[in-house]
Amino acid sequence: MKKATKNRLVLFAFLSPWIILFSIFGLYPILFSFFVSFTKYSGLNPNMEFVGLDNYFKAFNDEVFIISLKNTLFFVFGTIPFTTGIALVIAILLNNKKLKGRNFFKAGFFLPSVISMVVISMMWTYMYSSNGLFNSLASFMGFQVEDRSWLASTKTALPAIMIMDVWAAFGYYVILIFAGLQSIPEQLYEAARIDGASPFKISVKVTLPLLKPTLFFVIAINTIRSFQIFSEIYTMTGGGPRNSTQTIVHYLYEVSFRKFEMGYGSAIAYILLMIIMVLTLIQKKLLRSDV
Amino acid sequence: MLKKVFCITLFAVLLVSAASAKTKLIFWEFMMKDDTAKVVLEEFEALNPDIEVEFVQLSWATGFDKIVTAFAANSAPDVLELGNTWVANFANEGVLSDISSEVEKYPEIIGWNQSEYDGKTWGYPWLLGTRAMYYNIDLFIQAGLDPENPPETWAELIEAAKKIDALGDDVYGFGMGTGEPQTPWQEWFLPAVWGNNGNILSADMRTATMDSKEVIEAAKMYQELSKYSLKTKSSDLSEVFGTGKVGMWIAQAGNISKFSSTYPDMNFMVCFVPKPSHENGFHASFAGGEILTIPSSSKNKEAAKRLVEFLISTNVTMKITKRVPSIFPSTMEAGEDPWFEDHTLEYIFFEQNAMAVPAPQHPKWVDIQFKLSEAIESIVLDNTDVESTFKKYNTQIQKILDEFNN
Repeated sequence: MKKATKNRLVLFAFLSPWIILFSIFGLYPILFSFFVSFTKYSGLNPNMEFVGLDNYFKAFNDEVFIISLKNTLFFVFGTIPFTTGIALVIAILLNNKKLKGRNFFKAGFFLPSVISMVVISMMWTYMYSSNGLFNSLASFMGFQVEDRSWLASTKTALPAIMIMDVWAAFGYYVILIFAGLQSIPEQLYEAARIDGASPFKISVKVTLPLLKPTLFFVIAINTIRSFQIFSEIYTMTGGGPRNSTQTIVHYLYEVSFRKFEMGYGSAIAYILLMIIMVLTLIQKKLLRSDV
Repeated sequence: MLKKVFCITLFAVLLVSAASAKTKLIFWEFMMKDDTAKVVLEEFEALNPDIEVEFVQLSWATGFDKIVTAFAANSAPDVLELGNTWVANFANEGVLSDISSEVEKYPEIIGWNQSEYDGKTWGYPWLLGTRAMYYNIDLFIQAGLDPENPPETWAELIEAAKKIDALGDDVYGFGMGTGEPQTPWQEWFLPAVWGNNGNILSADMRTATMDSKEVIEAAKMYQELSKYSLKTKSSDLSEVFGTGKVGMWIAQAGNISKFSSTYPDMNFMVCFVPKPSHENGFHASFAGGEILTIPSSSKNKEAAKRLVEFLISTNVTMKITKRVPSIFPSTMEAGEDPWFEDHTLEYIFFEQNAMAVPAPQHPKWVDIQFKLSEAIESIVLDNTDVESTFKKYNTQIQKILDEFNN
């Protein structure tokens, strides 16, 4: 056997566990659900009926899907500026070497990221409940509050979940941006200082441009994660009241596993994939690194 | 020679083990906790030495998904507990065994209508849980109401709610479930419609009747009641009722023990759910039933039937009720059990069971209930016009029915 062939075989042997697992648990479900999205299929029995693009057309005539799309977009664009903005400011503050107890703050901000989202959702559900922390604080400060959970009103339910999500997510991005800041060479700052640049100018002209690749990564990951919001909704509201917290992934779960319309559920999943893909490409274009 | 002896011994061992092989049944359920299940199933195995039961307790949070994936993977258990609102859906998919011929064998069981679909019966009513009305005795006295005579009719209910609500800004006449997929219609709008001799689907389940006179009357009453109500999730209602700030609340029996242990100073009583008027209607409540089904994929159907027969006997169901006093036997004779003499509030729930109505057994009920909850939340949270709102949702529910029928 030739050495090159042997090398290739060894390479393949090392790769094969991953290839086999990915084929079974990744590739096959992806292809199967794409196929299913063109069928009427309950998932409970093997009967499948080919319906062409009907499931895709159905989505855009489905009032609840449109609501869930709007809610998801509201969630994504309502949380990302805050999570990224707060994370950026805190990371820049933490980057100051003179700051005492930097590691303590870093660990503190990161803490929510290591707690399961379901646990966080349960905690916040209690805080938002009738006699919960927020209502108690408001009445302590003299505000007249109705003993209603923040999650039971169509007006407050989604914003309440968004606030929780910003709290739960920003710590992770602080660490990512902090790592990005650490990789900027100190000499560039020194050079800027020698040229007489103010700290603000240094931030705008040196830090931000060099941080662009990290920011792109943070925003892209944040966008994908936010579009996939599910466990918070599942745990806290189940999409209600009156679909005011219905999001795409929760709706596709409801359609597939509550209403047994796996075909339609798969079509929604592929629509979501297209939306995320387009948005990520736009972000990539906008945040292209020129440095 | 040695080889021969070895072969004969091996054959004998195989023969003995084949003869003594037990039928293994897999049983998935929600209601029995581990300790109860152990006691009950040990008793069953002692009576049926040829059967071995492997038991899996499902949780309400993830159980439904587990059942769906088990059916999809063709690995369903031999005996499976299902909530009564799920039965039609699974029956329609052809994954449950038709047990219609078994019904005659159990004349003492009530609630067979909870597992009927398409003219056939798909499961055995096992445990029934319903809702009754809790009321706060102290708030009744403060509002000048007689706690010995709680509201029996809709008009009396609204009058009482109004008086209690007037006691203060942080006191509410009634607790109204909203913000969740089921509570808006289960506790209590749809039972009010049933009590008014109406329904949201026609008897043949082909036509939506959300715009019928009976439904609109119930909706107007509910909207009026909402003015004096705290409208929030049921976990909040339980908490606020417990702290003595809600006058009346329609809820499950499990709250009796919860209130007694968590809020021992709160004085409460339980009564039947109010009916439309003294002359008309009845005290309808939502029938939450646990149904034992035998999936059609089971290879041990006869053994499964023996397990079900044992589980639905009053002896076993009373054991479960005593440990989980929020759900009651499906046999009326259970009412004679001396346990109820010390549990008078639970007995009211047991009696209320006789007037409990299950949700329409339509395979698309999940879709329909979402629409129904939206309609109810619209009239009570946003105070929209009852007639036009219900007309709009009637059209949407009709669309679901038409899509299913075509």
